[in-house]
Amino acid sequence: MTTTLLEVDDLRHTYRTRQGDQTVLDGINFDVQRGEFVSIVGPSGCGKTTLLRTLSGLLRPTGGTITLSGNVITGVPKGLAMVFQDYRASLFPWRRVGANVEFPLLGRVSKAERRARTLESLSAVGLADAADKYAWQLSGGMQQRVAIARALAMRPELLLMDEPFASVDAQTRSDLEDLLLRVREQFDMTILFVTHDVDESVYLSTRVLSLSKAPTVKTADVPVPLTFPRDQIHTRENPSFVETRSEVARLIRQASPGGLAAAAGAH
Amino acid sequence: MSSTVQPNERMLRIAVGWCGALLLLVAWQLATANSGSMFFPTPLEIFDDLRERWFSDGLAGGFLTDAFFVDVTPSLRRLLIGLLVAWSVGISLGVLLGRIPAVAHTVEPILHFMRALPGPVLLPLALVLVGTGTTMRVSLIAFGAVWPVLFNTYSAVRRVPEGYLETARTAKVSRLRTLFQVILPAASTGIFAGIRVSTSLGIILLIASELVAASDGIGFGLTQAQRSFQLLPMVVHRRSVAARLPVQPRLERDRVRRSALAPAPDGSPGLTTPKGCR
Ligand SMILES: Nc1ncnc2c1ncn2[C@@H]1O[C@H](COP(=O)(O)OP(=O)(O)OP(=O)(O)O)[C@@H](O)[C@H]1O
Ligand SMILES: [Mg+2]
Repeated sequence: MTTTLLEVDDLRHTYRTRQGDQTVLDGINFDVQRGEFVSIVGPSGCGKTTLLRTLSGLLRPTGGTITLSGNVITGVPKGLAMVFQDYRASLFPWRRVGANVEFPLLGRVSKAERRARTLESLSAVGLADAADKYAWQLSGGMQQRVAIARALAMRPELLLMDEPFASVDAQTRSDLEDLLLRVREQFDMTILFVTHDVDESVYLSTRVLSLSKAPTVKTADVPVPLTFPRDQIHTRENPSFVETRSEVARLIRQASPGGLAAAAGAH
Repeated sequence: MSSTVQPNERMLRIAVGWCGALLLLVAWQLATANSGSMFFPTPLEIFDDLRERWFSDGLAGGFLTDAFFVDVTPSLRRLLIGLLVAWSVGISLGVLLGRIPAVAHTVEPILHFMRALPGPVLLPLALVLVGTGTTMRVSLIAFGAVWPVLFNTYSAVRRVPEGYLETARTAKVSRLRTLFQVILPAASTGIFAGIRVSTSLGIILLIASELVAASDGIGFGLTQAQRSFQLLPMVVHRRSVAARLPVQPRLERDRVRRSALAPAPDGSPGLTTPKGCR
Protein backbone atom coordinates (compact mmCIF):
# COMPACT_ATOMS: atom_id res chain seq x y z
CA MET A 1 0.00 0.00 0.00
CA THR A 2 1.49 3.31 -0.93
CA THR A 3 0.15 6.70 0.05
CA THR A 4 1.07 10.02 -1.40
CA LEU A 5 3.23 12.16 0.88
CA LEU A 6 4.10 15.07 -1.38
CA GLU A 7 2.24 16.51 -4.36
CA VAL A 8 3.75 19.23 -6.49
CA ASP A 9 1.29 20.83 -8.89
CA ASP A 10 2.31 23.25 -11.65
CA LEU A 11 5.02 24.79 -9.49
CA ARG A 12 6.42 28.04 -10.88
CA HIS A 13 8.92 30.48 -9.61
CA THR A 14 10.14 33.73 -11.08
CA TYR A 15 12.89 35.69 -9.32
CA ARG A 16 12.25 39.40 -9.62
CA THR A 17 15.51 41.31 -9.58
CA ARG A 18 16.60 44.75 -10.65
CA GLN A 19 18.12 43.22 -13.76
CA GLY A 20 14.71 41.90 -14.71
CA ASP A 21 12.59 38.86 -14.07
CA GLN A 22 14.10 35.40 -14.31
CA THR A 23 11.77 32.44 -14.56
CA VAL A 24 13.48 29.50 -12.94
CA LEU A 25 10.71 26.96 -12.38
CA ASP A 26 8.26 26.82 -15.25
CA GLY A 27 5.49 24.44 -14.24
CA ILE A 28 6.84 21.42 -12.38
CA ASN A 29 4.58 18.45 -11.56
CA PHE A 30 5.36 15.33 -9.58
CA ASP A 31 4.19 13.21 -6.66
CA VAL A 32 6.24 11.42 -4.04
CA GLN A 33 4.88 8.32 -2.30
CA ARG A 34 5.67 7.50 1.30
CA GLY A 35 8.89 5.52 1.58
CA GLU A 36 10.25 6.52 -1.81
CA PHE A 37 13.77 7.80 -2.39
CA VAL A 38 13.45 10.27 -5.23
CA SER A 39 16.50 11.87 -6.79
CA ILE A 40 16.32 15.07 -8.80
CA VAL A 41 19.05 15.69 -11.34
CA GLY A 42 19.56 18.74 -13.46
CA PRO A 43 22.29 21.02 -14.74
CA SER A 44 23.84 23.67 -12.53
CA GLY A 45 21.66 26.75 -12.23
CA CYS A 46 18.47 25.02 -13.39
CA GLY A 47 16.71 25.71 -10.12
CA LYS A 48 17.22 22.59 -7.99
CA THR A 49 17.96 24.62 -4.87
CA THR A 50 15.06 26.91 -5.70
CA LEU A 51 12.79 23.87 -5.95
CA LEU A 52 13.87 22.52 -2.56
CA ARG A 53 13.52 25.94 -0.97
CA THR A 54 9.92 26.15 -2.14
CA LEU A 55 9.24 22.60 -0.93
CA SER A 56 10.69 23.39 2.49
CA GLY A 57 8.54 26.52 2.80
CA LEU A 58 11.55 28.84 2.94
CA LEU A 59 10.60 30.42 -0.36
CA ARG A 60 7.06 31.16 -1.46
CA PRO A 61 6.71 30.12 -5.10
CA THR A 62 5.14 32.58 -7.49
CA GLY A 63 2.77 29.91 -8.79
CA GLY A 64 1.40 26.41 -8.21
CA THR A 65 0.75 24.44 -5.06
CA ILE A 66 2.70 22.04 -2.88
CA THR A 67 0.81 19.58 -0.69
CA LEU A 68 2.47 17.66 2.10
CA SER A 69 0.46 14.94 3.86
CA GLY A 70 -2.70 16.49 2.44
CA ASN A 71 -1.96 20.04 3.63
CA VAL A 72 -1.06 22.84 1.26
CA ILE A 73 2.28 24.34 2.27
CA THR A 74 2.29 28.03 3.11
CA GLY A 75 5.19 28.23 5.58
CA VAL A 76 7.77 25.78 6.85
CA PRO A 77 5.75 22.59 7.42
CA LYS A 78 6.08 20.12 10.27
CA GLY A 79 7.72 16.77 9.73
CA LEU A 80 10.27 18.07 7.26
CA ALA A 81 14.01 18.40 7.57
CA MET A 82 16.53 19.85 5.19
CA VAL A 83 20.22 19.21 4.63
CA PHE A 84 21.66 22.24 2.92
CA GLN A 85 24.04 22.37 -0.01
CA ASP A 86 26.57 24.31 2.06
CA TYR A 87 26.97 22.55 5.39
CA ARG A 88 29.55 25.12 6.51
CA ALA A 89 26.92 27.83 6.57
CA SER A 90 24.37 25.72 8.41
CA LEU A 91 26.28 24.35 11.41
CA PHE A 92 26.68 26.85 14.24
CA PRO A 93 30.36 27.32 15.07
CA TRP A 94 29.63 28.42 18.65
CA ARG A 95 27.79 25.20 19.48
CA ARG A 96 29.40 21.86 19.96
CA VAL A 97 28.44 19.03 17.62
CA GLY A 98 25.97 17.54 20.09
CA ALA A 99 24.39 20.94 20.72
CA ASN A 100 24.08 21.50 16.98
CA VAL A 101 22.25 18.22 16.53
CA GLU A 102 20.04 19.02 19.50
CA PHE A 103 19.21 22.52 18.25
CA PRO A 104 15.96 21.75 16.33
CA LEU A 105 14.59 19.94 19.37
CA LEU A 106 14.99 22.85 21.78
CA GLY A 107 11.78 23.88 23.45
CA ARG A 108 9.98 20.97 21.87
CA VAL A 109 10.96 17.75 23.59
CA SER A 110 12.20 16.97 27.10
CA LYS A 111 15.86 17.13 27.96
CA ALA A 112 16.17 13.38 28.42
CA GLU A 113 14.52 12.78 25.06
CA ARG A 114 16.81 15.35 23.44
CA ARG A 115 19.86 13.59 24.83
CA ALA A 116 18.65 10.23 23.63
CA ARG A 117 17.80 11.43 20.14
CA THR A 118 21.06 13.32 19.77
CA LEU A 119 23.05 10.27 20.74
CA GLU A 120 21.00 8.01 18.49
CA SER A 121 21.39 10.32 15.49
CA LEU A 122 25.09 10.83 16.01
CA SER A 123 25.61 7.09 16.40
CA ALA A 124 23.68 6.50 13.19
CA VAL A 125 26.20 8.62 11.30
CA GLY A 126 29.14 7.17 13.24
CA LEU A 127 29.97 10.32 15.17
CA ALA A 128 28.93 9.42 18.72
CA ASP A 129 32.46 10.27 19.89
CA ALA A 130 32.46 13.73 18.35
CA ALA A 131 29.56 15.17 20.35
CA ASP A 132 31.82 17.42 22.44
CA LYS A 133 33.87 18.77 19.58
CA TYR A 134 33.14 21.85 17.54
CA ALA A 135 32.04 21.41 13.95
CA TRP A 136 35.03 23.33 12.63
CA GLN A 137 37.30 20.78 14.28
CA LEU A 138 35.90 18.09 11.97
CA SER A 139 36.60 17.24 8.34
CA GLY A 140 34.19 18.25 5.61
CA GLY A 141 32.69 14.77 5.35
CA MET A 142 32.23 14.60 9.11
CA GLN A 143 30.56 18.02 9.13
CA GLN A 144 28.13 16.87 6.49
CA ARG A 145 27.39 13.82 8.66
CA VAL A 146 26.66 16.17 11.57
CA ALA A 147 24.23 18.06 9.34
CA ILE A 148 22.56 14.75 8.45
CA ALA A 149 22.44 13.75 12.13
CA ARG A 150 20.73 17.03 12.96
CA ALA A 151 18.11 16.32 10.32
CA LEU A 152 17.65 12.78 11.66
CA ALA A 153 17.17 14.06 15.20
CA MET A 154 14.07 15.86 13.97
CA ARG A 155 12.59 12.48 12.95
CA PRO A 156 11.28 13.93 9.72
CA GLU A 157 8.76 12.20 7.49
CA LEU A 158 10.33 13.90 4.53
CA LEU A 159 14.03 14.63 4.28
CA LEU A 160 15.16 17.13 1.67
CA MET A 161 18.81 17.02 0.69
CA ASP A 162 20.46 19.57 -1.57
CA GLU A 163 23.58 18.15 -3.19
CA PRO A 164 24.80 17.07 0.23
CA PHE A 165 27.84 15.20 -1.03
CA ALA A 166 28.98 17.63 -3.69
CA SER A 167 32.03 18.90 -1.84
CA VAL A 168 33.60 15.72 -0.48
CA ASP A 169 36.08 13.38 -2.12
CA ALA A 170 34.97 10.26 -4.05
CA GLN A 171 35.70 7.74 -1.30
CA THR A 172 33.94 9.77 1.40
CA ARG A 173 31.12 10.30 -1.01
CA SER A 174 30.41 6.61 -1.54
CA ASP A 175 30.69 6.05 2.22
CA LEU A 176 28.13 8.78 2.79
CA GLU A 177 25.84 7.32 0.13
CA ASP A 178 25.81 3.96 1.90
CA LEU A 179 25.36 5.66 5.25
CA LEU A 180 22.36 7.52 3.89
CA LEU A 181 20.76 4.30 2.65
CA ARG A 182 21.31 2.71 6.06
CA VAL A 183 19.77 5.56 8.06
CA ARG A 184 16.88 5.66 5.62
CA GLU A 185 16.02 2.09 6.63
CA GLN A 186 16.64 2.78 10.29
CA PHE A 187 14.55 5.95 10.47
CA ASP A 188 11.94 5.03 7.88
CA MET A 189 12.00 8.30 5.94
CA THR A 190 10.96 9.51 2.54
CA ILE A 191 13.86 11.26 0.89
CA LEU A 192 14.06 13.85 -1.87
CA PHE A 193 17.66 14.09 -2.96
CA VAL A 194 19.07 16.72 -5.29
CA THR A 195 22.26 15.95 -7.19
CA HIS A 196 23.85 16.68 -10.51
CA ASP A 197 25.42 13.24 -10.65
CA VAL A 198 23.43 10.71 -12.69
CA ASP A 199 25.28 7.70 -11.24
CA GLU A 200 24.65 8.81 -7.71
CA SER A 201 20.98 9.40 -8.41
CA VAL A 202 20.44 5.91 -9.81
CA TYR A 203 22.52 4.23 -7.11
CA LEU A 204 20.54 5.78 -4.26
CA SER A 205 16.99 6.09 -5.52
CA THR A 206 13.82 4.30 -6.21
CA ARG A 207 13.03 6.93 -8.85
CA VAL A 208 14.92 9.64 -10.73
CA LEU A 209 13.43 12.91 -11.94
CA SER A 210 15.39 15.02 -14.34
CA LEU A 211 15.04 18.73 -14.93
CA SER A 212 15.83 20.83 -17.97
CA LYS A 213 17.89 23.95 -17.81
CA ALA A 214 16.05 27.13 -16.82
CA PRO A 215 13.21 27.94 -17.40
CA THR A 216 12.94 24.53 -15.88
CA VAL A 217 10.47 21.74 -16.56
CA LYS A 218 10.55 18.07 -15.68
CA THR A 219 12.08 16.12 -18.54
CA ALA A 220 12.10 12.57 -17.24
CA ASP A 221 10.62 10.41 -14.50
CA VAL A 222 12.42 7.09 -14.43
CA PRO A 223 11.81 4.31 -11.88
CA VAL A 224 14.91 2.44 -10.73
CA PRO A 225 14.32 -1.35 -10.84
CA LEU A 226 16.92 -2.24 -8.24
CA THR A 227 16.42 -3.83 -4.82
CA PHE A 228 17.86 -2.76 -1.46
CA PRO A 229 20.36 -3.15 0.15
CA ARG A 230 22.65 -1.75 -2.50
CA ASP A 231 26.34 -2.22 -2.83
CA GLN A 232 28.89 0.14 -4.34
CA ILE A 233 30.53 -2.59 -6.45
CA HIS A 234 27.78 -5.06 -7.25
CA THR A 235 24.92 -2.66 -7.75
CA ARG A 236 26.95 -0.54 -10.12
CA GLU A 237 27.82 -3.67 -12.16
CA ASN A 238 24.21 -4.79 -12.29
CA PRO A 239 22.83 -4.59 -15.88
CA SER A 240 19.67 -2.84 -14.65
CA PHE A 241 21.82 -0.17 -13.04
CA VAL A 242 23.79 0.36 -16.24
CA GLU A 243 20.63 0.40 -18.31
CA THR A 244 18.77 2.85 -16.06
CA ARG A 245 21.80 5.06 -15.84
CA SER A 246 22.07 5.23 -19.63
CA GLU A 247 18.38 5.91 -20.00
CA VAL A 248 18.48 8.82 -17.57
CA ALA A 249 21.57 10.20 -19.27
CA ARG A 250 19.91 9.90 -22.68
CA LEU A 251 16.74 11.64 -21.51
CA ILE A 252 18.76 14.49 -20.03
CA ARG A 253 20.67 14.77 -23.27
CA GLN A 254 17.51 14.87 -25.37
CA ALA A 255 16.03 17.54 -23.17
CA SER A 256 18.96 19.85 -23.72
CA PRO A 257 20.63 18.86 -26.98
CA GLY A 258 24.22 19.96 -27.21
CA GLY A 259 24.41 20.44 -23.44
CA LEU A 260 26.71 23.20 -22.28
CA ALA A 261 27.82 24.01 -25.81
CA ALA A 262 24.25 24.87 -26.78
CA ALA A 263 23.77 26.78 -23.55
CA ALA A 264 26.91 28.78 -24.24
CA GLY A 265 25.77 29.47 -27.79
CA ALA A 266 22.43 30.71 -26.54
CA HIS A 267 24.06 33.54 -24.58
CA MET B 1 47.59 16.97 20.89
CA SER B 2 47.15 20.55 19.90
CA SER B 3 44.95 21.19 22.94
CA THR B 4 47.95 20.60 25.22
CA VAL B 5 50.06 23.05 23.25
CA GLN B 6 47.56 25.87 23.12
CA PRO B 7 47.40 26.79 26.84
CA ASN B 8 51.19 26.98 27.00
CA GLU B 9 51.23 29.19 23.98
CA ARG B 10 48.66 31.46 25.56
CA MET B 11 50.64 31.68 28.79
CA LEU B 12 53.70 32.60 26.81
CA ARG B 13 51.85 35.32 24.97
CA ILE B 14 50.51 36.77 28.22
CA ALA B 15 53.97 36.66 29.77
CA VAL B 16 55.47 38.47 26.80
CA GLY B 17 52.78 41.11 27.04
CA TRP B 18 53.46 41.77 30.73
CA CYS B 19 57.19 41.86 30.13
CA GLY B 20 56.61 44.58 27.56
CA ALA B 21 54.58 46.63 30.01
CA LEU B 22 57.20 46.14 32.72
CA LEU B 23 59.99 47.22 30.40
CA LEU B 24 58.08 50.34 29.55
CA LEU B 25 57.64 51.16 33.24
CA VAL B 26 61.34 50.69 33.91
CA ALA B 27 62.22 52.92 30.97
CA TRP B 28 59.80 55.52 32.24
CA GLN B 29 61.31 55.39 35.72
CA LEU B 30 64.81 55.79 34.36
CA ALA B 31 63.84 58.62 32.07
CA THR B 32 62.01 60.63 34.73
CA ALA B 33 64.29 59.90 37.70
CA ASN B 34 67.04 62.12 36.38
CA SER B 35 64.94 64.81 34.79
CA GLY B 36 64.41 66.75 38.01
CA SER B 37 61.46 68.50 36.41
CA MET B 38 58.35 68.71 38.53
CA PHE B 39 56.28 68.16 35.42
CA PHE B 40 57.52 64.61 35.06
CA PRO B 41 57.20 62.61 38.29
CA THR B 42 58.59 59.09 38.28
CA PRO B 43 56.21 56.14 38.19
CA LEU B 44 57.27 55.17 41.70
CA GLU B 45 56.31 58.60 43.03
CA ILE B 46 53.03 58.36 41.23
CA PHE B 47 52.35 54.92 42.62
CA ASP B 48 53.21 56.10 46.13
CA ASP B 49 50.92 59.06 45.92
CA LEU B 50 48.16 56.92 44.52
CA ARG B 51 48.48 54.44 47.36
CA GLU B 52 48.47 57.13 49.99
CA ARG B 53 45.62 59.01 48.41
CA TRP B 54 43.22 56.11 47.96
CA PHE B 55 44.49 52.88 49.47
CA SER B 56 45.81 53.69 52.95
CA ASP B 57 43.11 53.39 55.62
CA GLY B 58 40.82 56.31 55.99
CA LEU B 59 39.11 57.73 59.05
CA ALA B 60 36.36 55.14 58.94
CA GLY B 61 38.97 52.41 58.89
CA GLY B 62 39.39 49.73 56.23
CA PHE B 63 41.60 49.58 53.21
CA LEU B 64 40.19 52.45 51.20
CA THR B 65 40.53 56.10 52.10
CA ASP B 66 37.70 58.61 52.21
CA ALA B 67 39.19 60.33 49.19
CA PHE B 68 38.61 57.13 47.26
CA PHE B 69 34.89 57.43 47.86
CA VAL B 70 34.94 61.03 46.75
CA ASP B 71 37.15 60.61 43.71
CA VAL B 72 36.64 57.14 42.34
CA THR B 73 33.36 55.50 43.30
CA PRO B 74 31.06 58.25 42.01
CA SER B 75 32.87 58.17 38.68
CA LEU B 76 32.68 54.41 38.45
CA ARG B 77 28.99 54.44 39.20
CA ARG B 78 28.24 57.04 36.56
CA LEU B 79 30.33 55.25 34.00
CA LEU B 80 28.74 51.90 34.72
CA ILE B 81 25.18 53.15 34.57
CA GLY B 82 25.85 55.21 31.48
CA LEU B 83 27.49 52.31 29.69
CA LEU B 84 24.79 49.85 30.68
CA VAL B 85 22.17 52.16 29.25
CA ALA B 86 24.22 52.66 26.08
CA TRP B 87 24.76 48.94 25.64
CA SER B 88 21.17 47.89 26.16
CA VAL B 89 19.75 50.63 23.97
CA GLY B 90 22.44 50.12 21.33
CA ILE B 91 22.07 46.37 21.11
CA SER B 92 18.26 46.39 21.08
CA LEU B 93 18.04 49.12 18.49
CA GLY B 94 20.82 47.59 16.42
CA VAL B 95 19.04 44.24 16.31
CA LEU B 96 15.79 45.94 15.41
CA LEU B 97 17.41 47.85 12.54
CA GLY B 98 19.31 44.80 11.36
CA ARG B 99 16.27 42.58 11.30
CA ILE B 100 13.64 44.96 9.95
CA PRO B 101 14.85 46.73 6.81
CA ALA B 102 11.83 49.03 6.74
CA VAL B 103 12.78 50.44 10.15
CA ALA B 104 16.40 50.74 9.10
CA HIS B 105 15.55 52.72 5.97
CA THR B 106 13.38 55.14 7.90
CA VAL B 107 15.60 55.93 10.84
CA GLU B 108 19.11 55.37 9.51
CA PRO B 109 19.61 58.93 8.19
CA ILE B 110 18.46 60.42 11.48
CA LEU B 111 20.78 58.15 13.41
CA HIS B 112 23.76 59.06 11.28
CA PHE B 113 22.98 62.71 11.82
CA MET B 114 22.79 62.26 15.58
CA ARG B 115 25.93 60.19 15.67
CA ALA B 116 27.83 62.94 13.92
CA LEU B 117 27.42 65.15 17.01
CA PRO B 118 30.54 64.66 19.11
CA GLY B 119 29.66 63.85 22.71
CA PRO B 120 31.65 66.59 24.49
CA VAL B 121 30.01 69.25 22.34
CA LEU B 122 26.68 68.24 23.81
CA LEU B 123 27.91 69.01 27.29
CA PRO B 124 26.61 72.59 27.42
CA LEU B 125 23.29 71.45 26.00
CA ALA B 126 23.09 68.63 28.52
CA LEU B 127 23.81 71.11 31.30
CA VAL B 128 20.90 73.24 30.24
CA LEU B 129 18.51 70.37 29.61
CA VAL B 130 19.25 67.92 32.40
CA GLY B 131 21.05 70.12 34.91
CA THR B 132 24.26 69.43 36.74
CA GLY B 133 23.34 66.24 38.59
CA THR B 134 24.38 62.67 38.05
CA THR B 135 21.59 62.27 35.49
CA MET B 136 23.34 64.75 33.21
CA ARG B 137 26.63 62.87 33.35
CA VAL B 138 24.98 59.48 32.92
CA SER B 139 22.89 60.59 29.99
CA LEU B 140 25.86 62.23 28.33
CA ILE B 141 27.84 59.00 28.63
CA ALA B 142 24.89 56.96 27.42
CA PHE B 143 24.25 59.24 24.47
CA GLY B 144 27.86 59.34 23.37
CA ALA B 145 28.60 55.66 23.89
CA VAL B 146 25.47 54.28 22.29
CA TRP B 147 26.57 54.82 18.67
CA PRO B 148 29.42 52.37 18.29
CA VAL B 149 27.32 49.66 19.91
CA LEU B 150 24.31 50.48 17.78
CA PHE B 151 26.06 50.59 14.44
CA ASN B 152 28.29 47.61 15.13
CA THR B 153 25.31 45.55 16.23
CA TYR B 154 23.33 46.68 13.21
CA SER B 155 25.94 45.68 10.68
CA ALA B 156 26.81 42.45 12.50
CA VAL B 157 23.16 41.42 12.61
CA ARG B 158 22.72 42.21 8.94
CA ARG B 159 25.68 40.02 8.10
CA VAL B 160 24.47 36.93 9.96
CA PRO B 161 24.77 34.20 7.31
CA GLU B 162 21.48 33.37 5.62
CA GLY B 163 22.28 29.68 6.15
CA TYR B 164 22.05 30.07 9.94
CA LEU B 165 18.69 31.76 9.70
CA GLU B 166 17.32 29.21 7.28
CA THR B 167 18.52 26.42 9.51
CA ALA B 168 16.58 27.99 12.36
CA ARG B 169 13.53 28.42 10.15
CA THR B 170 13.44 24.84 8.89
CA ALA B 171 13.96 23.64 12.44
CA LYS B 172 10.82 25.63 13.30
CA VAL B 173 12.59 27.25 16.21
CA SER B 174 10.72 30.17 17.79
CA ARG B 175 11.62 33.77 16.93
CA LEU B 176 12.83 34.49 20.43
CA ARG B 177 15.07 31.46 20.42
CA THR B 178 16.35 32.40 16.98
CA LEU B 179 17.24 35.84 18.33
CA PHE B 180 19.05 34.64 21.43
CA GLN B 181 20.58 31.44 20.14
CA VAL B 182 21.32 32.25 16.52
CA ILE B 183 21.36 35.95 15.71
CA LEU B 184 23.06 37.29 18.83
CA PRO B 185 25.76 34.61 19.02
CA ALA B 186 26.45 34.96 15.31
CA ALA B 187 26.73 38.75 15.70
CA SER B 188 28.60 38.68 19.00
CA THR B 189 32.03 39.53 17.61
CA GLY B 190 30.73 42.72 16.07
CA ILE B 191 28.68 43.58 19.13
CA PHE B 192 31.68 43.22 21.43
CA ALA B 193 33.81 45.35 19.15
CA GLY B 194 31.18 48.05 19.58
CA ILE B 195 31.13 47.58 23.33
CA ARG B 196 34.89 48.01 23.48
CA VAL B 197 34.86 51.25 21.56
CA SER B 198 31.90 52.53 23.55
CA THR B 199 33.72 51.89 26.83
CA SER B 200 36.62 54.14 25.99
CA LEU B 201 34.24 56.76 24.63
CA GLY B 202 32.33 56.50 27.90
CA ILE B 203 35.46 57.21 29.92
CA ILE B 204 36.23 60.28 27.86
CA LEU B 205 32.72 61.58 28.30
CA LEU B 206 32.77 60.79 32.00
CA ILE B 207 35.88 62.86 32.60
CA ALA B 208 34.65 65.64 30.36
CA SER B 209 31.35 65.82 32.20
CA GLU B 210 33.08 65.83 35.58
CA LEU B 211 35.22 68.75 34.64
CA VAL B 212 32.08 70.84 34.72
CA ALA B 213 30.03 71.71 37.77
CA ALA B 214 30.99 68.58 39.69
CA SER B 215 31.68 68.09 43.35
CA ASP B 216 33.28 64.67 43.15
CA GLY B 217 34.73 62.16 40.71
CA ILE B 218 37.97 61.70 38.82
CA GLY B 219 37.45 64.65 36.53
CA PHE B 220 36.68 66.86 39.52
CA GLY B 221 39.84 65.71 41.27
CA LEU B 222 41.76 66.51 38.14
CA THR B 223 40.51 70.09 37.92
CA GLN B 224 41.08 70.60 41.65
CA ALA B 225 44.64 69.49 41.32
CA GLN B 226 45.13 71.57 38.21
CA ARG B 227 43.86 74.73 39.88
CA SER B 228 46.07 74.26 42.92
CA PHE B 229 48.94 73.43 40.58
CA GLN B 230 49.59 70.05 42.16
CA LEU B 231 51.26 68.05 39.47
CA LEU B 232 51.44 64.72 41.21
CA PRO B 233 47.76 64.31 42.07
CA MET B 234 46.94 65.35 38.54
CA VAL B 235 49.06 62.61 37.13
CA VAL B 236 47.62 60.14 39.59
CA HIS B 237 44.12 61.02 38.64
CA ARG B 238 44.64 60.68 34.98
CA ARG B 239 46.68 57.53 35.51
CA SER B 240 43.83 56.01 37.45
CA VAL B 241 41.50 56.77 34.61
CA ALA B 242 43.65 54.74 32.30
CA ALA B 243 44.41 51.90 34.68
CA ARG B 244 40.93 51.31 35.93
CA LEU B 245 39.55 50.15 32.64
CA PRO B 246 42.44 48.97 30.54
CA VAL B 247 40.19 48.66 27.53
CA GLN B 248 41.73 51.29 25.36
CA PRO B 249 44.06 53.10 27.71
CA ARG B 250 46.11 54.73 24.99
CA LEU B 251 43.33 56.87 23.65
CA GLU B 252 42.34 57.95 27.09
CA ARG B 253 45.84 58.78 28.30
CA ASP B 254 46.59 60.83 25.27
CA ARG B 255 43.55 62.92 25.65
CA VAL B 256 43.86 63.56 29.36
CA ARG B 257 47.56 64.24 29.23
CA ARG B 258 47.20 66.71 26.42
CA SER B 259 44.44 68.59 28.17
CA ALA B 260 46.11 68.51 31.58
CA LEU B 261 49.48 69.89 30.59
CA ALA B 262 48.38 72.44 28.06
CA PRO B 263 44.75 73.17 28.73
CA ALA B 264 42.73 72.17 25.71
CA PRO B 265 45.04 72.95 22.85
CA ASP B 266 42.54 71.34 20.51
CA GLY B 267 39.79 73.55 21.77
CA SER B 268 38.06 70.62 23.43
CA PRO B 269 35.44 72.01 25.73
CA GLY B 270 36.54 69.67 28.53
CA LEU B 271 39.02 71.90 30.28
CA THR B 272 38.16 75.34 29.08
CA THR B 273 34.61 75.37 30.34
CA PRO B 274 35.33 75.12 34.07
CA LYS B 275 37.30 78.34 33.93
CA GLY B 276 34.51 80.04 32.12
CA CYS B 277 32.08 78.67 34.62
CA ARG B 278 33.73 80.21 37.58
N1 LIG C 1 17.76 34.84 -4.47
C1 LIG C 1 17.84 34.85 -5.81
N2 LIG C 1 17.55 35.97 -6.50
C2 LIG C 1 17.64 35.99 -7.84
N3 LIG C 1 17.99 34.95 -8.60
C3 LIG C 1 18.28 33.80 -7.98
C4 LIG C 1 18.23 33.70 -6.55
N4 LIG C 1 18.59 32.44 -6.21
C5 LIG C 1 18.84 31.80 -7.36
N5 LIG C 1 18.67 32.60 -8.42
C6 LIG C 1 18.83 32.23 -9.84
O1 LIG C 1 18.01 31.13 -10.10
C7 LIG C 1 18.70 30.19 -10.89
C8 LIG C 1 18.63 28.83 -10.23
O2 LIG C 1 19.37 28.87 -9.02
P1 LIG C 1 19.49 27.60 -8.10
O3 LIG C 1 20.37 27.94 -6.97
O4 LIG C 1 18.14 27.12 -7.75
O5 LIG C 1 20.21 26.55 -9.05
P2 LIG C 1 20.73 25.07 -8.75
O6 LIG C 1 20.05 24.18 -9.71
O7 LIG C 1 20.58 24.74 -7.34
O8 LIG C 1 22.25 25.19 -9.15
P3 LIG C 1 23.51 24.39 -8.55
O9 LIG C 1 23.47 23.02 -9.12
O10 LIG C 1 24.68 25.15 -9.08
O11 LIG C 1 23.40 24.43 -7.07
C9 LIG C 1 20.10 30.70 -11.10
O12 LIG C 1 20.18 31.23 -12.41
C10 LIG C 1 20.26 31.79 -10.09
O13 LIG C 1 20.99 32.84 -10.64
MG1 LIG D 1 21.91 24.40 -5.76
